[in-house]
Amino acid sequence: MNKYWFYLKSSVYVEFKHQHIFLYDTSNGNYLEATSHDFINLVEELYEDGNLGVILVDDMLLTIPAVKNYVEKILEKDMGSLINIEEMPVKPISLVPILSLKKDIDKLLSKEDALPYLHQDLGKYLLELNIHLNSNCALSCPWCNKYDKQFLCCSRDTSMPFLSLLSLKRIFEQIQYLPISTINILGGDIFQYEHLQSLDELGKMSNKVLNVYCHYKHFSVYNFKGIRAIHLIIPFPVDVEKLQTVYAGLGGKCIFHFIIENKNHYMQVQSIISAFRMNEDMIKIHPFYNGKNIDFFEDFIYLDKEDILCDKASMRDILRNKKLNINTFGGLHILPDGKVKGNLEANVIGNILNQNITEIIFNELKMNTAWRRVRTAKPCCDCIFQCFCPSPSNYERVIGRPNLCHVKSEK
Amino acid sequence: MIEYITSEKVTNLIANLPQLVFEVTDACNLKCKYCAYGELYNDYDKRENKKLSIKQAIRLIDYLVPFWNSTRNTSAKSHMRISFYGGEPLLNFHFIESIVAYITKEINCPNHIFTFSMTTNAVLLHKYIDYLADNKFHLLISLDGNKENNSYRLDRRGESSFEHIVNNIGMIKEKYPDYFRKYVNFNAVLHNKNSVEQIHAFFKRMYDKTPRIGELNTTGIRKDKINIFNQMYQNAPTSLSESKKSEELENEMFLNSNNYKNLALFLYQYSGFIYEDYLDLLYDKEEIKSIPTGTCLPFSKKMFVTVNGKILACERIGHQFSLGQVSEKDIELNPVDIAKKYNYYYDKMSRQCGTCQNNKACIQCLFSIQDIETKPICYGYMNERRFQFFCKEQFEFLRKHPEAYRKIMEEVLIL
Repeated sequence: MNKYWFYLKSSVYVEFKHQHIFLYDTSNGNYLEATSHDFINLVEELYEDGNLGVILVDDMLLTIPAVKNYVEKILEKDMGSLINIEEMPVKPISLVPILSLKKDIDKLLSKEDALPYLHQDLGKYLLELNIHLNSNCALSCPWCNKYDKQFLCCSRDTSMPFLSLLSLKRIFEQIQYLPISTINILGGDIFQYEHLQSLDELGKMSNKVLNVYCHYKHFSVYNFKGIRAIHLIIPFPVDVEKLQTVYAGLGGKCIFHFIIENKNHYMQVQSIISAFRMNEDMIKIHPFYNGKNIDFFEDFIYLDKEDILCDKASMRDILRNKKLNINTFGGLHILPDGKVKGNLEANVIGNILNQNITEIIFNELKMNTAWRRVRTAKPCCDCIFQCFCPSPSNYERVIGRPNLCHVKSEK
Repeated sequence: MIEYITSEKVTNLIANLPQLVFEVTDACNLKCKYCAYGELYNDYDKRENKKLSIKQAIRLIDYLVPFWNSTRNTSAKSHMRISFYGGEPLLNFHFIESIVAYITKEINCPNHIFTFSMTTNAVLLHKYIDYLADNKFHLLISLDGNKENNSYRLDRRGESSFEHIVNNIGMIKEKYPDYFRKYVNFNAVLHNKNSVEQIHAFFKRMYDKTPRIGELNTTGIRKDKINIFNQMYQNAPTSLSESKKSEELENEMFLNSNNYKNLALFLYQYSGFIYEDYLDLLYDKEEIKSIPTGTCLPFSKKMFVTVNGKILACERIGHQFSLGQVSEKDIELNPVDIAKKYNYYYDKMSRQCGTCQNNKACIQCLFSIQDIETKPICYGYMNERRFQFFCKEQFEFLRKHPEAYRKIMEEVLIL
């Protein structure tokens, strides 16, 4: 009877779920699903510690139809190998993917001797700072205070103060030596903020570039010195004439954030893009869930299996989805009263007035209000695509579903 | 010349300093044959039984505190170790006491937690242990094993120091058992009068501890002492392989053994599944220019101040590579000059490192490369053939120790 070494390539990631496995080759994007008990046992054996990713199989095992079938598929898709031991007497090694994140906060928290590393060098994790200057605004957008819970947007709150100059200076002082380069400025109506000039000067002095977000109807020509881009927020219904004026005033140098609620809005956006001859790079479209447009989301936002697997995922992409939320990681919101959040709907994690930003970062890492929220809730935790789907977004939360997809796990 | 590091980076490293080490005296109450400051070596300043000035040390601390408190410090809470080295540091206990008092009572570093440590030959521990235990000093005691193993560690009269030291250690263990268990560790030097097995067995039996085992320093050896050195020198992997219980011993030593450490380094760099931190998991850093050699960035691990006030990046580096000076009146610590110096040495090594197949996993310190100023040759250099052999060795070891893969991936924190 012939014997063979059987192994998967190290680039193959295997997701094990109950009676269902998913094999994905990160080197070529090939994949395979399997529910055969015998084949699943075989793959599980590869992962046993003593085997180092390689097991011995014989002709008898390969006569089992399901095993034969899947092994052939593996070989066809170049996801693994079956080598006669006579050709290779020494057992090969194929390291199975085991994620090792050296400075995993959960790992560090669990080890007493890791204390010196726990708080160390956290400033680099700050990737995006959203500074909410004020909350006063004269407009009456239909869904004000709801937009900003789903994506970056201005919002109104008459009870909120404006961000003090002291807080502003403290923020820029603290980020001076951090590598962060994305700073978003939001309001209310930021043009009513009385320290706008100071903000501009601080931005310029710090060599950090500012992205200013404002409602297109608030836009006022202002000679910002320390700015990268103006971001215009455009909800429906759109005052096209006003938009035209603003667009002309900016010389076309801005990013347009269209907020759409249905397909009709989307078509209107396409018309505007065409009419204004806007560059695609200047356009961002944000779907907004208004409580009544679930059909729109199901048709255009929900993912199916093809969507999930359409782009080749790297091993880094997959392992990353196990540990951090790519939508929120590294982002902080500083509110006008100085309170800080990792996500606007999450709990407060600190106050910039009396805490260092690195301390606040540590609080977020430890409390995990947003940065490390991954797909651990049902049904995602039972799904073979758990680590392939994008990280949970604010949409899951506002819609009230942990998954926005059409995928059903096969049993 | 490529600017591998900038003065800005050096300044940031000072602000984020994890350890400050003072050579409190170059005097010693022992005369160990293999001492790095002894008759076998010549890359250190002449030993003059000096004591580091408390005023100078305080001046340096005062100079550094603003950096530590600045926004250049990127830690939420900095754990800084203040360490005392020698000679035998307890010969200048007054210095230690003064600096500990200054650090704990005088300076204002609200975001810092200071701890203290010392490397000692234990001869004077009976006098000062109460103080050391009260202040939770992490002690690293130098001892080479049993009496025979320890026979290079002689007092000034040329007699064995073993009995006295072992008595002192026994006293600590009895008087402060919790402190002993948590804060006391051992360092043994491997030479021709001991072996890895003997060292390991001794410390296990006597103290239930696994010591660090270091080899004799191979740089800065006096030319006329090379023969003596070669007789004394013993290589840890060879010593371990000669042991009858080498397998068991190696498993127990785990990352303290060369094979496990090499495997861990290999996996860290080449498995593709190990990530440094969350940023590493977020972004592919393939494009980042790598720095030649595996030398620690200046002050990324520690700042070492010699008894003569020289500032170095580490106590294992020859004193000719000083990066600054603490004098009676002044502190010379210029990040521009430091960056320039490192870039100069990096440049010297760049050609070799550029073609080395193992440059990603390099742990070679450039300051321990012979003739670094003239014609440096890195003996760790790997061409394709040597690298393939190295990989084969790692896989061979892994084949014999398959459980090591998951253990290294899941349990090892920092290498």
